Amino acid sequence: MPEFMTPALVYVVAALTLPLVPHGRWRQILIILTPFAGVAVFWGLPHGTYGNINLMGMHIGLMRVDALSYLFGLGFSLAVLVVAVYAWHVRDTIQQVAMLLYAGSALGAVFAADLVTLFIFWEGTAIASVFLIWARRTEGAYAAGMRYLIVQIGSGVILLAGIILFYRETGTVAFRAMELQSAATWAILLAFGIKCAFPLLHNWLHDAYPAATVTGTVILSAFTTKLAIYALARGFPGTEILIYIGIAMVLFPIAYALVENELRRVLTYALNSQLGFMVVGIGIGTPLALNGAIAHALSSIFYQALLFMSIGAVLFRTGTSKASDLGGLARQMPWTALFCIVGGLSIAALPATTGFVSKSLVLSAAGYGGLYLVWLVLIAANAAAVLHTSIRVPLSVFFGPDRGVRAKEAPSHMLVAMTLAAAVTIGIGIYPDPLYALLPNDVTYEPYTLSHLITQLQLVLFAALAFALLARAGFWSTPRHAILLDTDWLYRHLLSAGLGRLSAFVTALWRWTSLLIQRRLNVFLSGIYRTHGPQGVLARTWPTGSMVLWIAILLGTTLVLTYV
Amino acid sequence: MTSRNGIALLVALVVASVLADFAYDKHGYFAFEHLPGFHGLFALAAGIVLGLVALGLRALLTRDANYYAPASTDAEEHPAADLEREKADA
Repeated sequence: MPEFMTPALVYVVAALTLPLVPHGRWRQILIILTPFAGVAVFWGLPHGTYGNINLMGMHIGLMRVDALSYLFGLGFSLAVLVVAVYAWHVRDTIQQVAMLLYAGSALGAVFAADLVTLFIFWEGTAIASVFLIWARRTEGAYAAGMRYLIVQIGSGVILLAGIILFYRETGTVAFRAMELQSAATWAILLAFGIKCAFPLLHNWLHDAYPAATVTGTVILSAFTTKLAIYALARGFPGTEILIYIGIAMVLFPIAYALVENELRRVLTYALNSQLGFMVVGIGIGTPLALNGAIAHALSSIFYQALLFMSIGAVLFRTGTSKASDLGGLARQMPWTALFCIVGGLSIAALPATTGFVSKSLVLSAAGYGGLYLVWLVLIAANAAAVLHTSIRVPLSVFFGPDRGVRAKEAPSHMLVAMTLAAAVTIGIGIYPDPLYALLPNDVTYEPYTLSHLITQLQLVLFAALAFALLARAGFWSTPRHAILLDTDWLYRHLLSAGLGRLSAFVTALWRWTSLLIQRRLNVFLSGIYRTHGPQGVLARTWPTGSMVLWIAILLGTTLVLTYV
Repeated sequence: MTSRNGIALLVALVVASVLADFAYDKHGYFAFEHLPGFHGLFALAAGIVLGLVALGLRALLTRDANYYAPASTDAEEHPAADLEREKADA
């Protein structure tokens, strides 16, 4: 393999070639083949760093192959294949190129051995992915894309600042585990945290993802946040603060996920809560916990994609993804309903799904560590996921009251993509050994114990009962044409309103000051006019006789004064 | 299956899952886990409590879909060019 090789290069070449290939089968084949070519770059390579360059004294490594990058590389490549099949119908060159560049950047970042390469691909994911939002081509999507871009580029700039400080401090840009002990590493953590949607840094996720195109949301859901999880697992394993951040992250989005009406947004809140599980795992930092965080990141790529794909298919056919507009579609879209349920079961960590085999690792790590409060929060969040996603999403779309929406089953390519994701979800769920074997830490773990099976089933059943009780109390009747304010209100409304008021105040102050100055000036000028104007005293023409008289008086006075 | 039957089935399963706790040797991480039905009851309580919190949140934070318009997609129709609506025959 050439020394400058990285899977990202394959994607960039494919993205540049793509516009030259006419729309149709050849272009679709090119997109489908790209992830295979990307995998071929690192498949079976011995662990080590490839593509080493010395750049102004900094050691750049374009492709580091180790257990962690290899696993994420495989997961991301498989995700590209799934979303590429899902987007088979798309004839929009912008979306196709953006998808390849975005996925390529994510892969490039995963394989980056140094922080400079990481930064370049980090920004690459931001810039490429925004086009998936703008491809909706509406005013709202343009605004949402701009907000998304500002946040993502902001994350990149903070990362760059952190890298520069880190290089000054340590003299290296190698991307490896760091300690939180200086402004440099705090800046790097903050940059990772923005992309990972830490609490209060999370708004971009819920704002931008539901604003993308049908396929754009699915593509977005797979890469950005999982890349951030990878970066945290690589850079900050065992950093205690991440446990507390993770806990807040697990809980914070639940209330929103429970009552939000836009289902693609419900799924982003659910995704955010699941990211919390991974952050907690990274914070705990034991080999088991790290394995759990990584396994859950990979498994969530597929079950989240499954959920996003099924709701995307409903949107594709009906034009809406709002819970209040949908219902009773199971007869018309039975396969989509089935895939949505599979995704829902996996997020609930029901046995025989990837959610079960991956979430269990994090839960067990919290349990073995004696972190009972953390464990209880994670259990509560798991129960909540049953309510807000596993039951609510399929029930409100495919079952429940028929709202008169009639739609055909999703197109066959979407069904194929969902089948692929469902096969991964159930396949790994039933037989997790291949996933466990690829995890970076050598830990023996058996998820399918009798105790674990029964307690998890019990948890899911009681959560379903809680759903039914809340349903009886009329909890799930969502108001139509309404939104829920999140903390982005602070900058989308309060800040803009505050700036508006400030601007009005400054304008009023300016007007008042200029009015005052103008009045003073007017008084001054009219005074001058009075004395120097045509009728003014000083502009009057004097008769020659009176002038001579006054001169005589002046001279006489001078004479008298001289001799007195 | 009517919703009443569904709930009856769910209650039966819930009860069975608690009874199952007596029939095997539970391997928990903490002592409190060994209480029969702990996982279930905790999930039930968590679900209800979080539901009530969400209810309060909804009462407090619900706004009209046009609140952020036009700088938001909430009040927009999804553009038809991105869709392929096909009505079912049913």
